[in-house]
Amino acid sequence: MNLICNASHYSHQHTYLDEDENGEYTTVRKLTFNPKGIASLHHEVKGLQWYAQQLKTDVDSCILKEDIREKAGVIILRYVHGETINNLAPPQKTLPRFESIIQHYKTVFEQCQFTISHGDYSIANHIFRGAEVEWLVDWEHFNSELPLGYDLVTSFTQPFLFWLMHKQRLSRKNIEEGQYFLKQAQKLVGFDQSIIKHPAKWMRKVCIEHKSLWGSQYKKMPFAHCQPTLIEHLDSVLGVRK
Amino acid sequence: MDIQKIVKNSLKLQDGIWQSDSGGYWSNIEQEQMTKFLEDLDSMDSLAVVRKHFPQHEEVIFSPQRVGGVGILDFQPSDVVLDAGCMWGALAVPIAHMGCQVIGVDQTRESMQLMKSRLDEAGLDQAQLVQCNLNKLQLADESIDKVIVNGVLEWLAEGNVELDSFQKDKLSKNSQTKKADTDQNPYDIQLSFLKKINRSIKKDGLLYLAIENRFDIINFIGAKDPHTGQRFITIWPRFIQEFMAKKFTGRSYLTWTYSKAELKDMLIEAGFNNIEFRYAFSNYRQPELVLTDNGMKQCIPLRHRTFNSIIKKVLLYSLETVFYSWLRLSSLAPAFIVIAKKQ
Repeated sequence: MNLICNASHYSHQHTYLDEDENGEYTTVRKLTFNPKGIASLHHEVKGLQWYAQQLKTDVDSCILKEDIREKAGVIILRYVHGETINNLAPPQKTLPRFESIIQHYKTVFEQCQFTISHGDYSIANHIFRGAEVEWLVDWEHFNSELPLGYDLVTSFTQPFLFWLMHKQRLSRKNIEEGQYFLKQAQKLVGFDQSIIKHPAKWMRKVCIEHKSLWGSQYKKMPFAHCQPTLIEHLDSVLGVRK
Repeated sequence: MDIQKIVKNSLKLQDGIWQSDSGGYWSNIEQEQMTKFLEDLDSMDSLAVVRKHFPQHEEVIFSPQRVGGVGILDFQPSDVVLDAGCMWGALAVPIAHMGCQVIGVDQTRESMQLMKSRLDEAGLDQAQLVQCNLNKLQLADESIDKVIVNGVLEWLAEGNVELDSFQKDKLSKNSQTKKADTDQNPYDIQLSFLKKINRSIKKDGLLYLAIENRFDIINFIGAKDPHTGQRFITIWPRFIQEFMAKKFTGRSYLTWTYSKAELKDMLIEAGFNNIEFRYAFSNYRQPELVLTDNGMKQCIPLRHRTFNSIIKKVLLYSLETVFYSWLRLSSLAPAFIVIAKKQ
């Protein structure tokens, strides 16, 4: 078993990948050693159960074991093979995936009128097979409290935040693509148009208002904790004026 | 759990901690600083006391990252788990949360008092604490499911240690603090301990052993040994290590660490026949990655982030990229986590 994501000071959950005798990954094990991590495990299970139902997939083939005890616990999930893209990947790798992200969102969330949220619908939590989304992971913030549009605005705004933070060069075409998908998200979900004029400011406001939803992970949320000048800069770059 | 059926030393229960006739002091904190700390422990919770007196150690005591390595084990509530050298309970308390029957053994009563507070605050009454020098610990045969030896093996040949002054020491008082029975070399002391552990674990039990790699890549470029504070010392043959230690600190070099091959040989000699290695990045205390040989494909440079100097950042990033990410040389990893079984 390989530990690939240790708990941070903010989360209490460790993530391990199990290998078979050929060295191929077969399962994902999420573990917590203290009561603070148990809520995350419960949300993860609930989220995955809901997701599997939406995709008409057998839940038992996704969640292989659930052993949540009074003060600690472990869940074992099927490992889904595919390509992942982290938040710091360059625009030429990230932007072509936006179409499949919005299509997958429509497939999964339209049935509930978009009132249920994944809670961290960033590109890093998508597993791609070719151009399509194969699976969505990390359901620990699954909820029905976040406002309409939060998930998709996260997908299309967060990469730009990280690019600006790391002084990544952005072309006019990159920005226009980001704006196009924000408009598509607004059309699909039907949230207020004013949000896409100042998407970063709105993201920050929502993160702060729902602080209790994130629990200890609130401390690492980029929109809540980056400099206000960066938020303004991002809105001036990405905000949709027309 | 009847502790006296597992720990065969003569024990007396004193304020919730089983006292043997051997103890000592090993800590990051000077012993004389502990008095006020212990006074406050009666009236404040453990986290508040640490924040008040030793805030620089909060992370090493309480961080959930500490237990990342042991998560590769499968803990069942019926397990009897011995944490040898449990100190503040960084591993023992989380393992107790899993529902296991935990025995924490340490020579330093002060550390165990903090651990006891943590256990009481969490309502974990299935843990037992034993103050005993690990070299004098006597265990019943085949009585334990899992033994945790986390950053302890290399210290067995040393006596009492106050870590800060130990690492800064030149020719001075610490030469008095060597163990009385150091007519044995460190290897023999460590081997004797491992044999004892081997006898104590059940047929299907295991040893979890975490220790720095003697040939960690950064040791070749002059990184300080985390035990003695000396540069380059771990990579030399033993007689040169001894010469360097005597010349610069006035005492013998006793905190022996090993290469992968050496460690495996020692474990086989101790009676373990089924030995699996994992590699901890960037260290075993708060690992970000714990990888198998096959898992080395997941390895990424990590240690450059802890330095401010651009030159050091570039050097470390390059070294780790080449040796870990590209060449996947696990034998040069920062630390080993070994799962050893009898069969």
